[in-house]
Amino acid sequence: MKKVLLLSIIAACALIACKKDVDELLVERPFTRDFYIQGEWRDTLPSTFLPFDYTIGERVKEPLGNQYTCKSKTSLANNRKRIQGNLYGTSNTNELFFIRFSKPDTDSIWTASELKELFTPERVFPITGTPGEVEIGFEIPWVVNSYWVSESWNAPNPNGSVKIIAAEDYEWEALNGLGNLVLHKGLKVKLQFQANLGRLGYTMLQLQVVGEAEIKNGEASLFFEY
Amino acid sequence: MLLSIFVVGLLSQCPQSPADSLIPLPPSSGIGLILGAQLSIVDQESFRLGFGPVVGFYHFEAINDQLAIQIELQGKLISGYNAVTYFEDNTLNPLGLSTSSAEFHLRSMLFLEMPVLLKIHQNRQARHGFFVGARPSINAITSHQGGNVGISVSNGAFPNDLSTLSMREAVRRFDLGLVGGWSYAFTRRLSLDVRYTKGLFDLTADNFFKHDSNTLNSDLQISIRANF
Repeated sequence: MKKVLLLSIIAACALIACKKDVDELLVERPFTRDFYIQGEWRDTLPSTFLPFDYTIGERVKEPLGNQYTCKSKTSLANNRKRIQGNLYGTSNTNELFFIRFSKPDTDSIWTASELKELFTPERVFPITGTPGEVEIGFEIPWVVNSYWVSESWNAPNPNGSVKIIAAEDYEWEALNGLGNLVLHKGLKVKLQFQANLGRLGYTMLQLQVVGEAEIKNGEASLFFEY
Repeated sequence: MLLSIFVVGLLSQCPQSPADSLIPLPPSSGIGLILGAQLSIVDQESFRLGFGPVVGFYHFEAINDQLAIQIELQGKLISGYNAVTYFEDNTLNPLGLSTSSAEFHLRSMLFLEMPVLLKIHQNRQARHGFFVGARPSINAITSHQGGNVGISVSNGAFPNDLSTLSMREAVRRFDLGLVGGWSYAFTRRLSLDVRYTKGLFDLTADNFFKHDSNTLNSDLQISIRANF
């Protein structure tokens, strides 16, 4: 009986391995898809809808290191102040997509309360071709060196809508070009959209609307800064 | 002590050795050299084995005609570990993604061991003997085997610098094992030693290597011993 007991103790000692852990490990944060634009687009008829999906932070294409980025921009035009969320790819100046909101004002500054009122969830902005309404621009993919953004305001048959799904406070810190830490405050806005677009192209050596493209089932998460 | 009782019991079950298996009376104490090889389980799950040399020396002291204490100091190198871990930290903002990453490979380890053994013979002239004991060890990785450590900042926001991670912190420095084995004396100065050592501690940190398997300093060792 004693031998059995001894054998059991020995076996237990041999089978149990004491575990080890490192006390403190640096935080690992996974890549999250916070900002994106996705949907389906169709060129002038006859054509079929094709999906598009731009995720902020993902590489545009190998081997280039450019990432998809988005920027919030404000401007003044025709006594209206505008705020738009732009998406950029390989170029930092020619946007692949934008969505622009505006309201009558002579100062381009948007306050937090104005943006929160603008981006009230469930609010729907129709696109009918009326000046001052929401506008969408989209660069038709795969047209080499075009940088032609087809826009909703000059579609032959303006039609579409933008619906606010959610808006939440969002802020982030980053070093600017001078090495100063800058705090950016604004809203992360999730929205859905669909629109007809004035398809740009060259006719008689002039860039003009040559047809109508369409974008549908669009969904975006963009940053608008105040 | 419990182990020694167990082995004494085993020994009592052995058949009596014939007279011609006796060796001339060996010294009651002395030192000796160890030269041998060991086979270690470097991956418990796939039962992959690593092979390596063992060298060292030992001191023995007879307690009585049947028991002796032996203290050894030996070094061994084990290759073939395949513990790999990868870390990644990301900071995303609308201006893009910054990433830092670090990858570590544990391939080989060096062990400095000091087994303390109780040896049991039927008498000091017997060729066969058994032994049990404990084996503390100091463990070292042969080099800081980190690769692909990098940081890429694209948006003005900096991720955690994972290059400051140290695999050394993730490998246990001290270990303890249980030893059991058999020895055979060719002459009064030369003997063969076969032993199995079971490591009791997981050598690799589970939260660093992101696994829950055990990496043990367990091995089967065969060595030739010469005492003076």
